[in-house]
Amino acid sequence: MQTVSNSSTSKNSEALDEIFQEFLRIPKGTATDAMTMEDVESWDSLKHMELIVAIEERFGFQLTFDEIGTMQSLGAIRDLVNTKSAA
Amino acid sequence: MLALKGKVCLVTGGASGLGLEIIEQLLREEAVSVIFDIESEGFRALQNRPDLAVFKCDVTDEEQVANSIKAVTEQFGQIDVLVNNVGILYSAPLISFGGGGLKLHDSSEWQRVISTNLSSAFYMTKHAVQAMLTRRTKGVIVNITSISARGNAGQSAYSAAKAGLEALTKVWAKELPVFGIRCFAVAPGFCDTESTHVAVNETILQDTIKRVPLKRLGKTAEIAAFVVAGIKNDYLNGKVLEIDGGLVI
Ligand SMILES: NC(=O)c1ccc[n+]([C@@H]2O[C@H](COP(=O)([O-])OP(=O)(O)OC[C@H]3O[C@@H](n4cnc5c(N)ncnc54)[C@H](O)[C@@H]3O)[C@@H](O)[C@H]2O)c1
Repeated sequence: MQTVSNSSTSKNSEALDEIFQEFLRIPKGTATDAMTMEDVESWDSLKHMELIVAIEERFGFQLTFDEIGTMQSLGAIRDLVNTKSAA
Repeated sequence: MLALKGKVCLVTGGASGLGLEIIEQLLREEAVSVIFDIESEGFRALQNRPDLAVFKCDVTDEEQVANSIKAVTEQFGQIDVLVNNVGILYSAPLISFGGGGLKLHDSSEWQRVISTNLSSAFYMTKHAVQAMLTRRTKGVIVNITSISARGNAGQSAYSAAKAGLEALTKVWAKELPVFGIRCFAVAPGFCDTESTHVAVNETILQDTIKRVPLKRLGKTAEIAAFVVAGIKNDYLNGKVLEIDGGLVI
């Protein structure tokens, strides 16, 4: 199990909040881990693909189709980004 | 501008007519040129060409499409350009009255034309884009439509299929740029190909030529050059480029 440092997690979190604001129109500071596509009106399957590309570009890694499949909530996206960026 | 040298370019129906001309021009650009076609004289004639990869694939069959795309990516690593060129011309009025009385447009012909000209491009693009995404290839999709997409009398199925393909061009041009993939269409007018001479009666063809301001049929080399120029131009997306000697203005 990889340990992720607190400072890199909070940097990731900040960057993700910016992405959530830009692509999903979720104001900064209001995104919660439990939020799913059903809770966020602008989060449809097309926006989801834009989100993936934005995350890949921002964090400089490539997501596999299996990983993309797990990105069902903002919390799941955060966990995945933290794990991938620590790898 | 996209340099085509070494890029993997796949042309459906590339064993004859316009598709083959596109392939020849891509080869001149030093692209890795791949053809999907069905068993035919043209297909057999290309079997021994060392500069080409020719796959037997009926593009109306999604399973064959998926397997053949997989085979291309295994052999060449990726797909950079897809040209959806397969098409069959079919003319019949919706309803006509002949010696045998009332005749209605055959529904099985409708299905065949829609499947060959429209569904095939949907299957091909779906699987090619999946391959592009897997490798994060910034690809190009080209759809060969026709000026008939505007609605030609006597061509319900062909016009509908080509108009559908033009609609898909616009949809994909909006959906796919986020992945770095763009899409455009080329809509030729009447060209001097064997398929035109087989499908269009000589009197009608001569009348059509009279209506073309340039007073002649298009050459496949002229259409293919347009296709290749569009592939190379990174700013082209979502447009249907008509090339018809001015027949439709
Ligand atoms: N020739 C013209 O005047 C003209 C005008 C406007 C548009 N177009 C369009 O240009 C494209 C090419 O036309 P062309 O005149 O060169 O046609 P063509 O008949 O010469 O070539 C079509 C090729 O597609 C192949 N093909 C047919 N069904 C297939 C299938 N199910 N799976 C795989 N391959 C298949 C054929 O074997 C052939 O090699 C078509 O989409 C056509 O509608 C042609």
